[in-house]
This record gives sequence, structure tokens and C-alpha cells, in this order.
Amino acid sequence: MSTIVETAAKPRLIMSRAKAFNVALAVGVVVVLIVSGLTQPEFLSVDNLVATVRAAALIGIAAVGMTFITLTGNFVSLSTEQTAVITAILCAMALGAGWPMWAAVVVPLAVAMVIGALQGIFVALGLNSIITTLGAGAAIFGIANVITDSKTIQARVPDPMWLGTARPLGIPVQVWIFVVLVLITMVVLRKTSFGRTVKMIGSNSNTARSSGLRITRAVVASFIIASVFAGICGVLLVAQVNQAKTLNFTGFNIDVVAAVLVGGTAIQGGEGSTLRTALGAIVIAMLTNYMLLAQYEYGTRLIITGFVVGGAVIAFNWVRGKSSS
Amino acid sequence: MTETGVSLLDMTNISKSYGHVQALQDVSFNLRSGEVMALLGENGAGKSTLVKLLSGLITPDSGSITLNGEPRTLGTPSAARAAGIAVVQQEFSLVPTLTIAENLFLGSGDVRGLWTGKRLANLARPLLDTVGLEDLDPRRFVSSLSVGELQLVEIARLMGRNAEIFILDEPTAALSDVEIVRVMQVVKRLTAMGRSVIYVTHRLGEVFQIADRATIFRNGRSLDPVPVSELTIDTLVERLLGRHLGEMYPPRAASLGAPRLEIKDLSTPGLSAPISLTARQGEIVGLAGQMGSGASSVLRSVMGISFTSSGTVHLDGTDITNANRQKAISMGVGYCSDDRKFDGIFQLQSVMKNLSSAAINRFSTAGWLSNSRERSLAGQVASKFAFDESRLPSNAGNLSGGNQQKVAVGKWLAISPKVLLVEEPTRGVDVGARAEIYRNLRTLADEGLTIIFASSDMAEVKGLSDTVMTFYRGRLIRVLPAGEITDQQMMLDVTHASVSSTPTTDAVNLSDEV
Repeated sequence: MSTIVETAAKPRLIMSRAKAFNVALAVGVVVVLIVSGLTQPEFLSVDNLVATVRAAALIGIAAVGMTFITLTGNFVSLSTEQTAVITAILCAMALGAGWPMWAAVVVPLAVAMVIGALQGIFVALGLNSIITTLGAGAAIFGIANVITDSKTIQARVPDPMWLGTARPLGIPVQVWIFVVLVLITMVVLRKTSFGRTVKMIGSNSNTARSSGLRITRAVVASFIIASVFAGICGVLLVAQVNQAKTLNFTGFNIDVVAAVLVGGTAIQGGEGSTLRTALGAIVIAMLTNYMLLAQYEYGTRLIITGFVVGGAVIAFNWVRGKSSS
Repeated sequence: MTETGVSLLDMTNISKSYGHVQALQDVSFNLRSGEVMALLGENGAGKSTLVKLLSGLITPDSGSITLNGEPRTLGTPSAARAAGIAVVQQEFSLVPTLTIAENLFLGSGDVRGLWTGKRLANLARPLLDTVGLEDLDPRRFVSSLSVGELQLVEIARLMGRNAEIFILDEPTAALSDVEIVRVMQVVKRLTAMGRSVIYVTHRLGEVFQIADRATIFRNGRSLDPVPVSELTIDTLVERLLGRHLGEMYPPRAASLGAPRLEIKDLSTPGLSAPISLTARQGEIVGLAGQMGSGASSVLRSVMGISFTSSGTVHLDGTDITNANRQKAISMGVGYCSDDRKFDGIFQLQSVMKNLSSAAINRFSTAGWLSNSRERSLAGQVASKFAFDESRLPSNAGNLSGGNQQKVAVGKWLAISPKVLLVEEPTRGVDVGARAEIYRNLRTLADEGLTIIFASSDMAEVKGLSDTVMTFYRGRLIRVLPAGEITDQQMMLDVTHASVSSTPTTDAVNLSDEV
């Protein structure tokens, strides 16, 4: 009777939208590959590609973790790079002090977990996530400088660690970890009640609350995931370079946020996927690598990255607006 | 009535489609100067598409629009504004952190120089007077106004832009009866000043109070306008639906079961005296009251949203006083607020996820969701609430208001509730969907569910309830079986002495929700 206007068309359009995002991203990756390959032949060399995917893996792992925060509608974390730094430093210190590798990995990650939990609790209590993570980031970075006296910490591991250099099936360990984490988080978001809760909170936190969903728990867990994943990046870096310093991850926050946004996760929450974030990370890493090869100045690189992120966000919003009007 | 007759706006053979969905088909619409034209139709009949056309947000695929005899295109919002068409938004376009006066002149470009508080206030005064807000200080912040006052300020703002045609899109949907009277008075004043009003509403009673003619939309087509004097409520409903509605309200419960929810001496914010009530299995209790009367405070307190400072709430003998939401829900209590967009539905999620959202633990094992169990749960809820299952994958935000409301209320069936608490069960819902919601609720009650609802719509309280409780200013006035209370008695109870006199500002400012 009254329903002509709303039937048909819409559901199909929405189903295809998520796919369209994925396809668009994949096409973006291929285009960047081809253009880069043609203009900078070096770009396609094996060594360079390995370096690129390694960089993409680090950005990607942190970005996949941060996607949880974004999905809950709490925007982004601005303490990602600081969390990675402090974990790297703690890991290097532990190794330098002769701790076994497992302990040097687990303990710093536990610290990252606590850092994430604290921020999550503040946000769940109602504090703005940007302010919370900005403040936390500053404090963490301060602590990192104090405990290192702003010096480089040597891990003093005699042989390079397999975690940083091994290449099972020719693919670096970091990339394997990245892929596994993407797969796990995809399943968690789709198949668990926690994942469902995360997305529902981001869609409408008031409705989520009135439906009895466990908001505090899900928000705190999201911050823990983001923080631990950032910590994993820190550990991986130490494994690769055998040392850590406070300036290791400079600019990392921007790259990670860029990956989440280029992946098309809605900044207001509720919609997005870690697979898309992963693709976003690959785009950002390839872009950065290409610009380095082409010897763009630091400033120029920032400008271009900024425009790519802005353009992607505008494009995704445009597509969303189109299909929901 | 004012002198009408000069045709002001003529829309002929307008068609508009979205993709392959035909929203308007060969629609004609006529508006004379100085008249109130009611625009009626079920959700999805095309009313809002017409409003969007007139406000320049969309352009028609075919057809013509003439204004004062001249063909016009209203391709953009600014073109529509320039043509003198003003839409009073459902979601208000006022800036809460600015003063009333600042809002009135924001963006108008009329006031040059410094915007000092005093100067703006003086300029704002006459505008506020024309909409009956003589008592309102123009230097107050908009955030401190009640919903009704916001609406009137919005009209004043548009008056200041010299609008000729005012489109009021469900102006009274969120207002209490007292505030509705004020809006009606302003509409009459507008037409007395020669302005024309297009009045979109779901409340058919208002048509007879205020409109000169009515245009009815049905399935994207328009019927010829009819003078309201030639209509009765029955013929109007028939025209709206294209069929007989049958009974709006289903028959009441034949017998009631054991006491289910027992509230004793409850005190909570919003109530000025403790209240007690007992709701039985299969009973529908209607709490009648204006906004701020305390009727909904009772529901919020039971659900643990607001604090119960004294008294007790028992569900089947178990004490649930001040239980938190998760506890209340796990005990089988569902609660639906009066604002479905705020906390009733997830607009960007599928209907299925909406329907299952309150019962995630019912289709998950150790934290793992089962898609098939979710589908069957959502399917059960949908069929129980007469909801079209083919609609499960669509986004809830794309549904009509009536269907959104069905989702907001119906999702509670997923928890197999014992008690359902609903505020304003049919706010902003068209007459067809409304009858359906009433029928659904009654069927559920017949199966043993206890329903307590708060409403400012007296006809609804009387028609749907087994037991009626009237509230005024935080006090319980009367408890009676619905069959024994008269309309006059209810109206007197909920408005107290102000029923026949013009409402005072004091009565309007009752609302403590602002």
C-alpha cells in the first residue's frame, strides 16, 4: 500500500556498495603499481617490493587495530605512534638486558595493553577520544624520552632475529603477521558478538545503549586491540633493526589514520572493514615508497598524502550520500 | 476564514522517479493565497517528495510549476527561497548556541553593522510578536527553548525572510497538546496576514481544526483537493487509505492474568509525588499526560534509565528496583523511547540487525554469532509484528516512519519480553501503520505480554488501553478502566484547568525535558 517508494533497489545498491569500495581500492592498488612501474622501473624490483610490503605491513597492522576504534564511532587514536615507540623501546631494553625473546615480546605488549585499556576506560566514561589519545600520546612519548634519556637503545641480539628478517615462502614474517591479523579481525568483526557490538555502537551509540549492548566493554576492548597492534609494530621494528629510539615512528600516526580513511571506514563509525583498511595501508605504503624513489621532498610527500586522504574521504562520503538519499 | 480564491501556486502533471521507483506520478497540486492546504497521505505516498520539490532540493522529471501565474523552476534551495517558499523543518535549522535574535537574522544579510545584543533584540521583537512569543526574551539562547517554542521561532525567522508560502511538515509531531494550540494560532495568524500554508500532518483531527482544503496523496498520485467542510473523519480516512480502515483500535482484553509488574510508592526525577501501579499479564496500561507530566518518567525509572529514589519495582515477585538496563532486559523488560531516531533504531544497519540487536546472546554461543539462528529469530519477530520479511536486508533508515516505528517496537519481541514499556508508540506514524501497531500490540497482550505505554495522544490512550492513568505535572491524577473514562475527563486531567482557556506560557513551560 504505502510502500512503493522504499521497496526494491535500495538493498541491492547497499550490498553492492561495500563491494564497490573493495573493488575501487583494489583498482587503486593496481593503478599505482602500473603507473609507478612505468615511471620508476626500480619500483618493481624485488627488493623494493619487499621493502614496500614490509612498510605496508607495519602501517597496516596498526591501522587494522585502529579500525576498531573508528568503527565504534570514536574517530582515531592519536597515540598509535607513541605506543609503538614505547613498546619498541621496552622490547629493546629487555633484549639488551638479556631477557629471553618471548618475555621481551610479551611484557612490552602487556604494557601496550594497559595503555590501551586506560585510554578506553576514559573514553567509555565519556571523554573525547581525540583529546584522550592526544594527551596519552604526549605522556607516553614523554616517558619514552625519560627512560631512554633520548638515546638509542641497542637490543644487542647477536644474530638478527627471525621475527625481523625471516622470509617463509619468500615473504617477510611481518607480512605474514599482517595477513593473519587481517583475517582474524575480519572474522571477529563479522562473526562474533563483540564485533557486532562494535559496529552497532558506531552506528548509533544511544540505540546500542538502549538495546542493552555492552558498550563500555566493547570500547575498552577496541582501544586495547588498537594499542596492542601498535605495540606489535614496535616489536617488529626492533626485531628488524636490533635497536629502538624515540624517533623511530615519527609520522606514523598520520600514515595509520590515512590508511584507515583511504580504506573507506566511515569516520563517524559503524561501517568499514579491516580488509579495506589493509588495502588502504598498501596504497599509502606504495605511494610513500614511490615518492621516495622519485626523490620528492618531505614536504611534497606530505602534501600529496594529504590530498590523497582528503580525496578518498570526499569520494567515499559522496558515494554514501548518493546511496542513502 | 480569510478570503481565498486567487490561485497562488499551481503544480501540474508532476512526475518524479528515483531509479525505477516512481515517487510521484502525474501529480497536481494547487494552493490559493491565504489558505491552509492540508497535505495528507500515508508514509511513502509522496508527500515528502513534493515538499522536497517545493524547497528546491530536487527537480521534477516532468510537469510544470507556476507561481502567481508565471512558470517557475525551483531547481535550487535558494531559488525556492527567492520564490517565497519556506519550509519549516522537522529537524530544526536553528543554532542552539546562538540567541533567538541572532538566529532570526543569521544569514539574512538584512542587518548590517555590529550585532549588539540590544539592537538585535529590538529588531527581533516584532517578529516574535507575530508568532505569539511576546513573552520570550530575544536574548535567550535557543538551546533553552522547548520544542514548541523552537518551531515558532523558526516560523518567525522565515517571516523575516518575507516568505509567502509556508510549508509545515508535521509541525505538531513532537509537541504536547498545549503547544499544538499555539502553533495552530500562529498558522491562523499567518493566513490572516495573507500568507499561505501547506500543512503536512498525520493527525487527522488537526485537518478539521485548521485547514481550508485538503489534498490527499496515495501511492505517488494526487487526488483532487477537497474543501474540508465537505469531509468527515470517516470519508477522510477512506480517501487516505483507498479502503475502509475497519476498527482503528482492537477490542480490549477479555480477561487479565496475574499481577506481573508491581510498582509501589515509586519516586523518581519527573514525579512530584510517589505513585503505585500494578500491571497484569495481558494488560495494556496507558499513561496519559503532556510532555513533562511524569508519565514517561515512570517507564524510565522501571528501565533503570533514571534513578528510583524510593519505592520498589517487582517483576513477577522479583525485585528489579534500580536494575541496570542489561539486567532489566535479561529479566524480560523492553523499553522503547519516544524518539526512534535517537535511540530506537540503527538507521544505517539492516532491518535484520536492528530486530536482533537487543537479543545478541540469543543467537550466539560463547561469543560466536550464528547467522542462521539470527535469521530465524529476525524472521520470527518480523512475522509476529506483521513486518514484510523481504525487507530484512534493507537499511532501517530507508524505511518509512511507520515501518521504522515497527522496527523500534518490534525488536523487543526478540528477547521474548514479559513487559514492554513504550513511550509515544505511534509518534509521526501514518494512520494505516498506526492501526497495524495497535493491532500488533493487542495481539501480543492477548498472548500474555504486559504493555505499559505513555502517550500525549488522548484518543490513543483511551482506544488502546485496558487501564488508563492520567498524569499532570508529575502527579498521578486518576486510574480508571479505559471503558469508564470520558474524553472530557481525560483532557481535564492532563491539562488541568487550562482546558478551555487559552494556554498560558506557564503551562507551556511545564516541560522539564528541555
